[in-house]
Amino acid sequence: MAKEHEIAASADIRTGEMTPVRLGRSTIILTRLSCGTLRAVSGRCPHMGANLQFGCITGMAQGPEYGKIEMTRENEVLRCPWHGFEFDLRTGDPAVPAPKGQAMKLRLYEAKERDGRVYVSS
Amino acid sequence: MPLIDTDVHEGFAGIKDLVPYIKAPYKDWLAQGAWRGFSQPFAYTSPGNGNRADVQNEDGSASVSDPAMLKRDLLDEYNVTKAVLTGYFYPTGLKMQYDFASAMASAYNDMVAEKWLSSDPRFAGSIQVNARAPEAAAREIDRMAAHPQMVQVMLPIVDDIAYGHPYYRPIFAAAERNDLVVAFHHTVFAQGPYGMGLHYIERHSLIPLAIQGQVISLILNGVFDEFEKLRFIILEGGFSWLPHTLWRMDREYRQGRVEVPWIKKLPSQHAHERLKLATQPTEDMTTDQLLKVIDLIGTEDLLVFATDYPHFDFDDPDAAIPRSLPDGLRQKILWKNAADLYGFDIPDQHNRATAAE
Repeated sequence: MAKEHEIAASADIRTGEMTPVRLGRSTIILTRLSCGTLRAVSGRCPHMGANLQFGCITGMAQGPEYGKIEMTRENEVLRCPWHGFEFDLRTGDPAVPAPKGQAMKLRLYEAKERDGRVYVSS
Repeated sequence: MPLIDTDVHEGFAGIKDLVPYIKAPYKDWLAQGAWRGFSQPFAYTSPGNGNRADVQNEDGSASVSDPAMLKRDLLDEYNVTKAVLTGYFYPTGLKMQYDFASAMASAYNDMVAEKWLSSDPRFAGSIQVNARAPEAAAREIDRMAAHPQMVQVMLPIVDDIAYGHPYYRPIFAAAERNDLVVAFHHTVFAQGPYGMGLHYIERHSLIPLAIQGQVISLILNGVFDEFEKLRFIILEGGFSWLPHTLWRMDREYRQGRVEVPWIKKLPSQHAHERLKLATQPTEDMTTDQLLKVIDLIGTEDLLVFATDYPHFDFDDPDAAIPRSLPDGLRQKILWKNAADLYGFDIPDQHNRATAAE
């Protein structure tokens, strides 16, 4: 059965920023999407285990035509500090499909806010 | 079993063979010997000076200009169902006098249509262009695409601006609107990463590297995305390098997609869907090794057979594509994949025979 942990103050979690918190021996990254939705994700990249708190929160780059880059979905993508792999903060999916037979999904934790505090289930 | 040879080099005896076909003022230039044609910047070391030594005219001189001889030596000898003529006279190699080069491409195409394509329905043709003048090349593609035996545009491997550069887009647009394949073939001027080296053996070993560069340029500059219907074939570059190139590009795409977001698919997916590689020159792999390479490539639909007739590194179909391969795979390599690429309507004799039993 999932256990709920109080891990941060709601006011400390801001859109476009990463707040790392310890949960047992693991680190969880907290952030908010542009709409204000709270996100809690694993602090380790599913690719090679990089510490994601050194990565960045960004948007999804789109290219409607050659030479033209448009940023969409601002604050909904986390990029790994090592290889720059992109992960969709709404789903945990990588922006580019994983190599055949390899798991490449960023773990999402269930996160709730209550009375100004953030709770994560594990 | 049907057999499709995707790389057959027709040619001419000499540059003056283009005189009847080329426009003024270049007709006089060629007739007067003002230009001597391309020559390789090295000496060939094979017994036939770059060609199979047994491909000779009656007087003993090398021949690539006789359709009857080619039909006898190749089409009839190997029971070839379709032979795609790819030339080896590539006006793109002239890095100046662009209009002259474009005119030579047109003249060569007319010569091929009159002398070669009309001589046998088994021949399919490649439209030669001067890629350095892309708009003129596009007009030439539009002109020659009307010929029912022309199946592709030939782009020789260049040593300067690679084909992914936007400069060449009019050529790809013309190929796409005319429903033609785009083929790439190395040249006497193709360079490896450090030039040609010091020896012919070095230069010949570097050819796949020159070709890999073009594949990388095409895919990572969005040519596969911008021209969604276009299909591509790489000739005479071998194929065992492809797994590495695809893995590398896929990895780079995962980490660097943000720079080139107009690329919508994994590079390997683009290649699997719309790239073919001709097998020649095969590298004397065992059947097990060949199966492993194909497994690593990721699809059985990518390789097509080629002999490279009349060049010295000719591949005999039975020796190069082992009979010990699974029959279905062997049929794909020897004809089905190429038939699919070019839209050749070739009855499946094997299945027809099976159905009749």
